[in-house]
Amino acid sequence: MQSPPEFKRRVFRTGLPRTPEEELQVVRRSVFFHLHPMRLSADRMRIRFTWCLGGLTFLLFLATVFTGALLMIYYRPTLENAYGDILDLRYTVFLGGFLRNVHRWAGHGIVITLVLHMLRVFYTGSYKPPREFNWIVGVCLFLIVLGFAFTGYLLPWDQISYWGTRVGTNLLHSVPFLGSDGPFGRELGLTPGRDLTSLILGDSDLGPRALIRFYTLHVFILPLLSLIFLMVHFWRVRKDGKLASRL
Amino acid sequence: MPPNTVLTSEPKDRRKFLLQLSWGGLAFSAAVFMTTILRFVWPSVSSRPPRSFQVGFPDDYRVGQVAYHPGREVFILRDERGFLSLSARCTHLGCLVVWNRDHKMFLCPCHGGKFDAAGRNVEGPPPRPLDLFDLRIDKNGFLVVDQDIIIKRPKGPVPRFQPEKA
Repeated sequence: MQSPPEFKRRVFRTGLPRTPEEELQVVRRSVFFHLHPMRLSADRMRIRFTWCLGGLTFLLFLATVFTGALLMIYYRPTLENAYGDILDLRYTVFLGGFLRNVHRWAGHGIVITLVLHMLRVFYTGSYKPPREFNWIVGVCLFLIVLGFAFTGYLLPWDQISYWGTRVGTNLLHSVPFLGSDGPFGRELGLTPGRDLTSLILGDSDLGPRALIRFYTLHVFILPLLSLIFLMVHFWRVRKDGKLASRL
Repeated sequence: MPPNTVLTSEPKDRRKFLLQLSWGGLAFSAAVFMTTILRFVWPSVSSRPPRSFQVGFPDDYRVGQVAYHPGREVFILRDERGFLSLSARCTHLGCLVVWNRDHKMFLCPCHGGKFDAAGRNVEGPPPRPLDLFDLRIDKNGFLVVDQDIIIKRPKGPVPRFQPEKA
């Protein structure tokens, strides 16, 4: 048996930092802290500089991840169960309605704070070189968030989500080269049952295939993508300077 | 030419070639990979019923009969002159019309549209006659409706499909 102090030394290898140098070492060596800058200038920390909008978006993202993981325990993405499970969450599951509402409102909040964040970045000119690459990464994240919103909308499988998705996916018939009604669609042999819309729905009509596809996108593929882009986004915030520049 | 020129230039060309080969191979593999994934995601079957389908043999229909094919939303009519295949979709807002035997009319339950026995709009809000679908006989002798081919109605009487002439 190892003695407890030995175990503690092996897990918390260095112990608490005692000097400012050691504090910096902690930030540099930890995988969780190192994305954050080691030093921040007091001037850049003023709330009115960024309004902390990106951070708020990330906070809401964490809220949707947490509540979403819990909602997954009850929700089954099939035509027979989806709507019933939503009603169950609302009326029978302890805290189910609360968690679902937090998930929903945090999801709406992400779109709002994200747009405000983009406006802030735009009006302060923060998209300009040397930070133009991070602006592009941010736009990708914005598109991913729209994907989250669109796929999540279908999952309750009620009237508004069914028809909302129906309208949204029917719009894709008009995409050039890929949609049956778009420019060059007919010429390329695309039909309403075989084009971009059916690729996304997994069938010629909105049905069980579409529900499971949207679910997979919503709970696995888009979160994976967003994690990758968020990593790059935060890393670039630190590396590109200005906000996190040297003192 | 000094002997070392050959020694230095040749490996460089080879290196460049191998590098291009590697990148080309990588790009090719990536393309094959993406195509395969796309092929996997692309739906192979459709739950939508086919647009052209068999509706039995011509002799299954009596002269003067109006037969409705539920699920297909198609009426098959037979009279002395031949066959007609009419869409059951009302041309007003797309409700399904029903055949009224007493009035010899197609009636729309939604807004009171009326169509005569040939599908011409005679009363109510429908702006045009019921769609006429193409009929043909397949190689096994079945009567086949093709919903992708909508026959244009002439001014006079509607031309009937005659299996014996086809």
